[in-house]
Amino acid sequence: MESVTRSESKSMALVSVGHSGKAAPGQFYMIKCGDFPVVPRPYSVFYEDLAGGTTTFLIKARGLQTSQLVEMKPGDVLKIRGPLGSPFPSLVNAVLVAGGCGFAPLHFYARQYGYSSFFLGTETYEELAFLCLFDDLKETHGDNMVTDLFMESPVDGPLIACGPSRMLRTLSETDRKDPVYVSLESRMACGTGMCLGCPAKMKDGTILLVCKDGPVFSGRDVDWEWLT
Amino acid sequence: MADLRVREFGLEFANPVVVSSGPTGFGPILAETVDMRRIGAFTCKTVTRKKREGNPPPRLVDCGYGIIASIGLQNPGIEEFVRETLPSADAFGTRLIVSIAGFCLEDFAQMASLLETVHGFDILELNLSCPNVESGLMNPSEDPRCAGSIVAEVKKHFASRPVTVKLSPESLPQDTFIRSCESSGADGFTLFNAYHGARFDINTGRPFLRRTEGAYSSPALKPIVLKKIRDARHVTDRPIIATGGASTAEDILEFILAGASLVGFGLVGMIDPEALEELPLHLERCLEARGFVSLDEYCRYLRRTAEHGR
Ligand SMILES: Cc1cc2nc3c(=O)[nH]c(=O)nc-3n(C[C@H](O)[C@H](O)[C@H](O)COP(=O)(O)OP(=O)(O)OC[C@H]3O[C@@H](n4cnc5c(N)ncnc54)[C@H](O)[C@@H]3O)c2cc1C
Ligand SMILES: Cc1cc2nc3c(=O)[nH]c(=O)nc-3n(C[C@H](O)[C@H](O)[C@H](O)COP(=O)(O)O)c2cc1C
Ligand code: FES
Repeated sequence: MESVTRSESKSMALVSVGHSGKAAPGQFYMIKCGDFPVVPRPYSVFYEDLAGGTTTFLIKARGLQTSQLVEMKPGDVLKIRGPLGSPFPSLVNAVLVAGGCGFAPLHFYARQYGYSSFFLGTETYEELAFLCLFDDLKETHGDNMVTDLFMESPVDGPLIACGPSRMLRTLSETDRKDPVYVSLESRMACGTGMCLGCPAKMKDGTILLVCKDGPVFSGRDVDWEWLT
Repeated sequence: MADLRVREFGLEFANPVVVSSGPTGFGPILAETVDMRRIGAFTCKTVTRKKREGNPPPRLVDCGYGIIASIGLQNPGIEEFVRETLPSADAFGTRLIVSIAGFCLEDFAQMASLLETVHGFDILELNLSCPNVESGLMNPSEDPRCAGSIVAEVKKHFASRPVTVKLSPESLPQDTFIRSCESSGADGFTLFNAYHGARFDINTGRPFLRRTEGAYSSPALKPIVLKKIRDARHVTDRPIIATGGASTAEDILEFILAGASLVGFGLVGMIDPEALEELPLHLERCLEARGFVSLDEYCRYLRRTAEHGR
């Protein structure tokens, strides 16, 4: 681990490791710190600095592993596996919608390919202040949903979204002509398609795996009833 | 380098490391990172007669010390497995174990007959213990006679290779299950499948898994399984693939001392394929550090010492 930047109350942190694996926006790594918890967890790439040889993750402290990760110190050792999964397509004038940690892959996307509009919703004002890294971010926090913000001022163009399943479902089911790409969330164990632990059903009945076939899917293809 | 070869089921294994059924699927993805020739044997994910979609999500819930999985035997069905999957697994260059589960005797009979005609695998495992499917017509994990009748039916149709029976650790009394399967012709045992477990969301009051319960896999279960392997060894002298809670090379020795013939690894392969591949190498080092030239010599020496010390 190279460096850690924490939000004011340490509810979020940017954790950089000395590794670059030529990740593309939307891809993730399986990360393990120490012996506990036993099973690694997936984290999207927030940014990869190829020249500097570092990969950065955005961590929100909320459980056994994430509360350890935000407390890490430079020099601590993490076991990482990746990059894994399929990336977002690179589109012209994409509209980005992020909820909470869903900001991570969209931040990487925005830095790599640009965007036409970028919406962000967080749980607290502190998180918003921590993630306010673009001047023209359309933001909201607390009880005000980012989906409502987006509906109030809908923008044309292909949509790319990452956040809680409910948010992704709402965006996928809105009446828009442009494509919608979502990065699905799921519990994972292997992260590579072996254990069949992270299924997503498509409307045509096929069962795909979030880790191997995703995490990026066309939101209109997903059978949301089965998933949520 | 210490000699790790083991002879069981009338077959030679390069080492006692057996990859258990399920956590690493049918193997091709594992084979991208792991040189499968370095593993003693690979067990394919359990297949059923018909294709199964598996359970709706969430299928996994973490427990810190391990994980509960409720996959629901998602698999392509025996015919597609034989046609599409088995030929590529044959190329792994290690001993191959095929695992089947059924919902009635007819399922087992059909699958056994088909597999009898197929080459490219070494042992047939009967999964009589999957905790993750809705109740079928038979419940072999609750009825020892039912387990025995499945073994007898399979042996009628499948005689070319050994059959190992995978039991649930919750199939009690354990000795009755083992004796019933053995007298019906089981050539060995895979002990055990995972324990049932569940977790509940304290915010919503709902279970985390869509089907509430699943298979709990954790290194913390090792001492419980060790004790049960010891008990099983008193009941049968057939080979035992001891499975549940093993994660290191030292664990292999400990399970063998408890009575295991080979040692199964589920969780490890799923979360750390490299660690799985290194197990045989670490086992060699473990033996060399203790001055032994082979696993066989170590086992004979320690068993003798244990008997004298009693
Ligand atoms: C593709 C992908 C990318 C991801 N990217 C990121 C990322 O960039 N950043 C990020 O922070 N996360 C990301 N995640 C999510 C992250 O993997 C999980 O949040 C992580 O597994 C949490 O691990 P933990 O050990 O901290 O939480 P755990 O301890 O495993 O708990 C998980 C959640 O359940 C809650 N919980 C635990 N037990 C109970 C109980 N009994 N009742 C109620 N609630 C309970 C916890 O509070 C927590 O909210 C991503 C997930 C996926 C699938
Ligand atoms: C994700 C997952 C899937 C599994 N699928 C199967 C299966 O299809 N058939 C089977 O016999 N056992 C299955 N098991 C049980 C394992 O083969 C093994 O018996 C159990 O995990 C205990 O071993 P471990 O402690 O090394 O993980 C599965 C376990 C897990 C975690
Ligand atoms: S996490 Fe194992 S298949 Fe996706």
